[in-house]
Amino acid sequence: MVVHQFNSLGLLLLPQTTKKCHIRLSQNLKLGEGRKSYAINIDSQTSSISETTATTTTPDTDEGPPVIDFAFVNSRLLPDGSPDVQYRSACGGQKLRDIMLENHVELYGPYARPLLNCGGGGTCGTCIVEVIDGNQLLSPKTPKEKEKLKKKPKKWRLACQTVVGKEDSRGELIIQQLPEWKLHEWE
Amino acid sequence: MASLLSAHLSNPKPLLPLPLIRATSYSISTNATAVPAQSPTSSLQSLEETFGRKGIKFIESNGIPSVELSVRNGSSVNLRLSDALITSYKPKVFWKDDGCKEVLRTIQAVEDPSSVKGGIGLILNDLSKTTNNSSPWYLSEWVVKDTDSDSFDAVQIELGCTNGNGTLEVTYVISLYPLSLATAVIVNNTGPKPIELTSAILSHIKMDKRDGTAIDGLIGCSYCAHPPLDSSFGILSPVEAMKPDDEPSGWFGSSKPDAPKAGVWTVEDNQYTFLKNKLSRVYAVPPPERSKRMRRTPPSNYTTIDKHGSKLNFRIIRMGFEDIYLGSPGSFAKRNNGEDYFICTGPASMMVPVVLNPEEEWRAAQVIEHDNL
Repeated sequence: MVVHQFNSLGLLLLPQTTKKCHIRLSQNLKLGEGRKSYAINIDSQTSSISETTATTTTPDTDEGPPVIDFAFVNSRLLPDGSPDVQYRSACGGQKLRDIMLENHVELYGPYARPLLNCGGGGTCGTCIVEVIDGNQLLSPKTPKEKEKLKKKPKKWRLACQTVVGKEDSRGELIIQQLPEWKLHEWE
Repeated sequence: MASLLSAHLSNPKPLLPLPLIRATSYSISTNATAVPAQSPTSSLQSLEETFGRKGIKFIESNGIPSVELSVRNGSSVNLRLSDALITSYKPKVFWKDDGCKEVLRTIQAVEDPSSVKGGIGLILNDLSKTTNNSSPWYLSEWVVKDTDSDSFDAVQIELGCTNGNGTLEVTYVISLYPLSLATAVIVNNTGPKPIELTSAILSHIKMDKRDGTAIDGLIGCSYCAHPPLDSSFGILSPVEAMKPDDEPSGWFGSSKPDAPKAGVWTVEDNQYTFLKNKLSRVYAVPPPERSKRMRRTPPSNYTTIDKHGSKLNFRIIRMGFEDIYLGSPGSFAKRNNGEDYFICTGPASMMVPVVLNPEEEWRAAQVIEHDNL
């Protein structure tokens, strides 16, 4: 952890410089088997991902209906370089696009207006998201997705074609919104 | 010298670094000396000598020492040194030559020109102190600790303050950039006991026309009616802010707008929150839900809209604070000899106090930025 020193103040010169950020999902996140917490380092020059598992020995009690926890990371970082994360919870079995729109998480970016996207049809390719973690919960890529995302990185998905888990699944998912506009790198 | 940023969201108390502090290729070595304010002119001179830079000027307005920060594109900030109140923020918002427009609403009391209300100010309440003193401890006795400037596009000033018995050290950093203004607070617990704090950075943003005033970006967030934290610079006191507006509304006589009762949490389901009528709300995660495993976070930024007036939008970004306070005066805005409308808003940590253990530090910030150019 870097501690800010007071005697010398640095000023913003460039919008992006080397910075390390950590994003960790809520500490009390419970999965079926134990507690897991991720620490993901974002470093614009070198990137590394480190996962620390702190499993508890006591079995977790069932807390309410099964939901999937999401961490949506905005394409713009906060002014101090830390990631702008929004946490949400939703039931499984829905399309990722529906989950994001219902929970007012920015999905389309500049294409959010009425005629600029296909509204879930899988034809426009504007609802791209990047799956940082939790890919095992998502349905496999449909042929439509493979067509649209042929030249894109493997982690990118179309939110309107991706179904998140089943009705009774639990899990956590880290999604990067608007990956084409993001200014930071993940591993 | 180089300070990198890291933000850990793992702790229940998020520790955030100062905003917009980056590695620079040069270091400023200034002696941060506390200047006693004995005779105004001599202390101003010594402040100017020690801390003056290009873009940082120490002046005196109405007998109160202040500092004026300015950057190359014309944006400027006026900050009062006695109570760390930002009395003026004029960013460049139009492309024409003199395109700077005042963003903040300030009111000067007629009988006491040195007391100003409005602007942007920091509220920090030490809850554990109220047992001894009847009045909350206000932040006062600010001293300039350090200044920094890169002569063109970035200016920064750091003020420090301690509370009476030396248990709390507060640092307030104001940074001005061409398109944004960042105010950050860092609180250090130097005493032996844990301290509970409620804090807010409230800005009184001027709106040209009452009609089209709105906020964009709070949809989906839960809120409840709540008074603002008490402060020396708030235009509306907490009691006034909660009073229902008694002006006759519209052409239908006295139709009461549905004022939610304090303590009732509702979810904002409008894309735009209209601020024509009087309201005083806190947008936050309801305290009972905070102990749950996963809670829906309030938005990290929102935009103020002045649709019919100046048509300028300002984005307010919250870092480190948990809640968002939003207050609009309704017809109370006319009281203080002003035709101007304003709203009082800003990030806060007021629903649940922040617990600061000894030797711990808490950081939080607000950034007002705009892309009207």
